[in-house]
Amino acid sequence: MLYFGIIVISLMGSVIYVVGKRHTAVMLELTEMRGVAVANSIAAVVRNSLLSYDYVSLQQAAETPIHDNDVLYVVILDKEGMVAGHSGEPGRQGQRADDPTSRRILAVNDVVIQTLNGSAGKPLLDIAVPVHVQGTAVRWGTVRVGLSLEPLLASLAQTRLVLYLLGAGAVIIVLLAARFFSRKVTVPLQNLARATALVAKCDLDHVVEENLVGELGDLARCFNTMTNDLKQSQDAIRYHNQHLEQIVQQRTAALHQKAQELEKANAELKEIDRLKSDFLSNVSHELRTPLTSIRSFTEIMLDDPQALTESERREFLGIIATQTERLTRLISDLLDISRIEAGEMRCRVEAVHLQRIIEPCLETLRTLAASKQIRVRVEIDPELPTVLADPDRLSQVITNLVDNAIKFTPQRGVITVAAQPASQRAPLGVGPERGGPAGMTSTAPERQAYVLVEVRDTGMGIPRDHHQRIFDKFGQVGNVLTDKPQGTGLGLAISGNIIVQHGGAIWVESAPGEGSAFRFTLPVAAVPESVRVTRRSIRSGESLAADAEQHLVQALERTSAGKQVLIVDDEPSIVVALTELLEPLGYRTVGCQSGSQAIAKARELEPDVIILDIMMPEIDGYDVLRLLKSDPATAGIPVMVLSVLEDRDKAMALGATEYIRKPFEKAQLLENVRALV
Amino acid sequence: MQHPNPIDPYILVADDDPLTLKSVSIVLRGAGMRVVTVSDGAAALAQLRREKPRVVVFDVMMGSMSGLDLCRLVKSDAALHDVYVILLTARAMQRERQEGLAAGADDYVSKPFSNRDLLARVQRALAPSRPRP
Repeated sequence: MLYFGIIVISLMGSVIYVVGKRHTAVMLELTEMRGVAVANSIAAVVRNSLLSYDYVSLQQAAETPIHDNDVLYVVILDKEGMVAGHSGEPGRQGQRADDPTSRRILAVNDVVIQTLNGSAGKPLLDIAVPVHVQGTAVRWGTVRVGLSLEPLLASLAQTRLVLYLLGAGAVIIVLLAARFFSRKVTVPLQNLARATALVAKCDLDHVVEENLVGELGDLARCFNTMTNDLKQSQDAIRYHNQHLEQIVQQRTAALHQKAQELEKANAELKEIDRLKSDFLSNVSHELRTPLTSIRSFTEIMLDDPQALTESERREFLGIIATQTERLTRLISDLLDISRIEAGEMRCRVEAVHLQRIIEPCLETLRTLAASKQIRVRVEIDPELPTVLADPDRLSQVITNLVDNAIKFTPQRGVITVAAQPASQRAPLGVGPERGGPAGMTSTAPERQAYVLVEVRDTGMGIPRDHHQRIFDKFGQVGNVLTDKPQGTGLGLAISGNIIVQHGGAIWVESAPGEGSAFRFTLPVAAVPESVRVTRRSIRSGESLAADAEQHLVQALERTSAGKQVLIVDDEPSIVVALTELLEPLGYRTVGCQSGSQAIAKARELEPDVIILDIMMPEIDGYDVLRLLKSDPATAGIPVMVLSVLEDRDKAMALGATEYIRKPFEKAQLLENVRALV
Repeated sequence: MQHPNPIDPYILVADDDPLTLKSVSIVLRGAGMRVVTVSDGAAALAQLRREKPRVVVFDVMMGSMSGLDLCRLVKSDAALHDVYVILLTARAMQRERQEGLAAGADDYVSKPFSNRDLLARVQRALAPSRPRP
């Protein structure tokens, strides 16, 4: 602003100076021309007088007043440079004009214009014009006119004043305009520039004044809109960043957790791997030990039969026989374990009398027990109901438990095998997670009646921390390298699985030095009340007991004999499994593998029970149920739904009589079929 | 079977399976060796201190002390380190064989073994020209 003012003022000054100068020059020239004209007119008048030296006329001519009031004097000089006439001082006529000014005039035969200082220092213009005769250059005299410059100078001064005033006015106007311009344009522009710098530094909260004229207002509004948009997008970005950070944190935490889980799983896998490796090593040892004896003694007998005595031969053959037996048992255990692993362990349950199972088992083990002078006691409740069990598998369990007991009981110990009715499957919490005794338990719905079987010994007992491991298929107590009593530790794992398959539970109660008690439960076979009464009434006669049992089995068979079961499942293996389960118990079964076939068969055969799958192609179980229930001919047939689905209510609402989920407990299924027929 | 004779080569056999002990002793005694059998590591150690055998046959898998441990003890004992150790094992995997040889065993026989093979190995161990380990 200051520089601008200085520039404007100096420009204005220069203009005024140049204009003034030029004006002065022009005015001076005009005055000179006027002076020359006056002098020339006088010269024309006085020429003849000069030629004739008529000094009186010349004095008169000089004194003749001139209208121009600025003519100060008129002097006429003759041919010789004498004063011939003088307007102001007539007395000077005839005097030689030899002052410096006159000498300069006379030296030149032409017009001479000089600026002189007159009286009192007032400037004047002296104009001298030579007088020539027409057509010649002969100078006959000179006319000098003095013109006052005072009026001219005064006029010039006035003009200059006006110019200065105008200039000042113009400067003021320009400065005011500049100030206005600055306030309306420069300051807002500066503000915008500052705001832009702030925006560049990411300060988006700055707002510029919008109330500005014209395009500046538009610019300011655009600027504010821009910062606002920027701010919003920045906020959005910040929000997204925070969100992203949060997600990253969550993901990191999740990853961390996953890593820990993986580590844990890895550790578990390593443990399993170690157990498997130990197991393999153990199995190898268990297979090779009897094989070693068999091979060695066979070779001994083959090499030199004559050198052996008869008793030695018998002894060695006996060894070979028992070791072969041991090997066979081991291989069958291994096969069982692999069946369990593959989920192919099958139990064909039927109503079983425990006495009939326990006694033969003990019979085969008595020799072994006797070799250690161990007494085996049997305590079986005479009121014991029959249980649902696979007789072969049950024998396997009992043999295994008693065999173990003999193995771990020292000389002259006592082993007790007891059986009694029980109202629950197991004491609360069997299993590693439930805080109860170590063991395995079925997860099938609890039933009303069980039989509890116990094998108790007076052996060395088992430390509490080993309890769960003995049921694990790879978890034989102790390390095979350091612990003796042999075995792969498969027996209990197999027994546990068998009992669970039967819908029962098995567990151990033991402490070091106090002996061990292995207990297991089996579901009671549902026995018609009438049969029980019959049995009780004839119990008195011991000899009649066997007959009574015979009756019982017959009665049980009667409940199922000839009853027809329609099995509907699109999975052939299920149909086969159910058929295998039901036929040995006296049921007649018909299988079909589609909904439409099922409806046709149901109408045709009117079976006693229908076992129905839900998830089948085309016509599903629900549709079959609807169709069966809508037809009076089939509406009365009880339908047991057997499905992997967990939608009991829907099936029951459609008229199903019972609902069992796959995979099913065989005992439970049988019980339900029995209840329905 | 012959009666033990103090000048016969003395063999110590340790195995927790009584039947293995029985068959091994029948085979070795039949070849004129003097055999002492023990059924665990501790007894084997006691017997080793009582009388130094020419050859020992140790089962790897025994109750309280494994044949590998016994083998290490024998080989680190200045008085016993030249006893020829044959390990008998039901573990036939290569890793286990290496483990046995690393423990300093001179020979390694997998169960089930042939009587003749075992006898041949023991006799080779007894031969005066056998290379020192």
